[in-house]
Amino acid sequence: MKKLLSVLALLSVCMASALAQGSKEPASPATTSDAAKKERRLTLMINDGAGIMEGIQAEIDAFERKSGITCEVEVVPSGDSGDQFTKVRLATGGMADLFLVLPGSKMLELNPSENMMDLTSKPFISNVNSAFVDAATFDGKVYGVPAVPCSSAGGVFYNKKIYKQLGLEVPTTWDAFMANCEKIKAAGLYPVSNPNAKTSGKQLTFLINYFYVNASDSGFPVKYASHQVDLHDNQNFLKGLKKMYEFKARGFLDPDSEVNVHDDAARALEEGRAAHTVHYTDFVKYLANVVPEAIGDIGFFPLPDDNPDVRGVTMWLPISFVVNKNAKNVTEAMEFLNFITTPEAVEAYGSASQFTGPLIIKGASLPGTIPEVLKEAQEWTVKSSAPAMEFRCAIKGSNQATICGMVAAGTMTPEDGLAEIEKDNAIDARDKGLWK
Amino acid sequence: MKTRKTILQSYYSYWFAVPGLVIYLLIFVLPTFSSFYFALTRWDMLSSTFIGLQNFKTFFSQTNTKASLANTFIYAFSTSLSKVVFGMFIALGLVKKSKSHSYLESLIFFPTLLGYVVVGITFSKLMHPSRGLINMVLGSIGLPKPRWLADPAIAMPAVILVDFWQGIGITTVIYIAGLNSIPQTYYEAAVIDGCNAVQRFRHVTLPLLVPAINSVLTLSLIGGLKHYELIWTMTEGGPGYATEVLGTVIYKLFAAGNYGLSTAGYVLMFILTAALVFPLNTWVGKKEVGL
Repeated sequence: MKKLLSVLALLSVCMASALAQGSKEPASPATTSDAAKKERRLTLMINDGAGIMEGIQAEIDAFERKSGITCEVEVVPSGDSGDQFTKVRLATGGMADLFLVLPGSKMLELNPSENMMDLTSKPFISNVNSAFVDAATFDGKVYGVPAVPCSSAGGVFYNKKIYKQLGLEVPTTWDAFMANCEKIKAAGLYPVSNPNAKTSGKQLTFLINYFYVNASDSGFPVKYASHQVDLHDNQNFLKGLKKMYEFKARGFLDPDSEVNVHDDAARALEEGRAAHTVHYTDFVKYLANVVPEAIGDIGFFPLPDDNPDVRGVTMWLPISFVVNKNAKNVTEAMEFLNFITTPEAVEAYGSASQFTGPLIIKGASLPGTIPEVLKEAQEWTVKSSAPAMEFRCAIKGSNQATICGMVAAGTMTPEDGLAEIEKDNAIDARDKGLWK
Repeated sequence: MKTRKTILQSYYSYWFAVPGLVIYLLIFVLPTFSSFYFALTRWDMLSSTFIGLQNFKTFFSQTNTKASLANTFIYAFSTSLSKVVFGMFIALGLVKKSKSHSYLESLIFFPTLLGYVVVGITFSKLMHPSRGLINMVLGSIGLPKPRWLADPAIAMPAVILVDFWQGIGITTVIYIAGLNSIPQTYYEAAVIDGCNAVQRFRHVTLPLLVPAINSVLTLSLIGGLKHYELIWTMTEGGPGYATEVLGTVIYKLFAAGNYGLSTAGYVLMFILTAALVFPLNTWVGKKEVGL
């Protein structure tokens, strides 16, 4: 009995002191407002792309430090499995506030009007290169901004030493380019060495020439997707094939081009055996690895056409951030997008990942250590550029590279090549349900 | 009369096969049947629309399909017949126990251990017309330097040669196993009857080697009809359509996102392979002679 009483007494003392403690809390106003204040959060889903994930993460960290918003990052696979992941998350409603998608047809596949927020009126859109904005626009609305500040610009890489030796000037028209090649051929060198062995190299001249399709008719891809026009309705497609064919037909093409891969072409260009390579700025990493000491001799100019005043580069665009239409933290998301379109974010990116190509954020500049050739490509990116066709149109036949390879090797005429590409694209368009 | 217990006991051993059978059904049989369905659809991996035999019509309408069918047969039959014939002669040479016998055997077998992609990349570098090792050696001894993978006329023979180099090891090993299973008593009897070496080969070795020949022929023919990885890493089906085979056509369609079409191509390959291999296997099997 005594024991029970003493236990009860102890318990009541404990409870009394606990209640007393509890009643103290509401008495202090300062701690209430802190406890009631919500922490600002933002959820992001990023893909583990090699060489770019670190840079994107660095941008997110820099934003966290600057704004005080806590960023929760989820990393998912990239590539085709990443695409499925994104589609499933959107379908089940478990998507983060911000996620990554490639501009162009990949973005279109995810149904932007239903799944993404319209960013057209936002001020930060004007910080982004127009070619990118073009590719992220559907039905007049912009949906994304670059997550990675580097793009890839397509044009002609040339050996400056050879130009100096032979007293040549950078050509502004196709005829001037051909004239330069004649002089180079007469000097016993290969005017052009293209890496035509693999799919990634064979079709470059044709794809890079798309700038001129865009310049003559920027609405072509939309009409093409609904089968109102075909490739032969815009003469620049045939011209692109003709340019490729001419390299071989006039004996300007390095005979090893048919078996050369990117390293081989880089070597030929840097060792001074060839004078030009038609490629995009991803080529710079081969130039930097194969003969690093010669990279200073390489320059860049856009693929010329007939009009010297209408010249430009065709761009391959990087992955972009889009805002989930059902995002919970919209204000924070917009603040983030505002941040990553500034030069400060570009610097943060550069601290963790390499700059592999021209920058598409206005006001940002490449560091001084970047090779000259990239700086020249950057100038053209800012001055005059258009997105590659794959960013405006989902139609691309499975044999396009093979057909381009045959035209490049001179075994098929450009006219036959165009007819084949049209036939091949038609199969793809019908299979994807775009054409009847 | 068998009691229930004894019936269960007699089927007891079959239960051990069930896990393996389930896995086989799930991973091999089910996908095969589902691919027969998807070949009849327009498919983007998330949803499919039934369109009947349209995919097959489209597949045959492609410019490169005819060339690929011809090339597939050429590639398959050349590689398998060369492996069947040369494998036998190499095995006959190696079955005798000599000092260098085991070293030579491992040397012949080693390429089989390498993956197709490794072999493809290595040989495409070796066969580079101006900077590849093969042409450098040929040039240094004054021989002409063929443009191996760039010349449409010799690209296919070049690829067949590399496939042969890689696959000869396993065929040789199968033949050696077959030769070793022939009891010596038959040879002794033949010698007593006055047979010379050629006659011994024709009347003792060859008939008893038919099961090995059957295995080698079947395996290498199926492989030749199916495999495209070596061709893809060496020439990507080029130059032009010179080395285009069914496998490369299907691969390109798959890479372009035309999943229904590529599955139809694969079903076509399945039908062709079955139509060729089953009758051949049965016909050669009939020639088997009991030991």
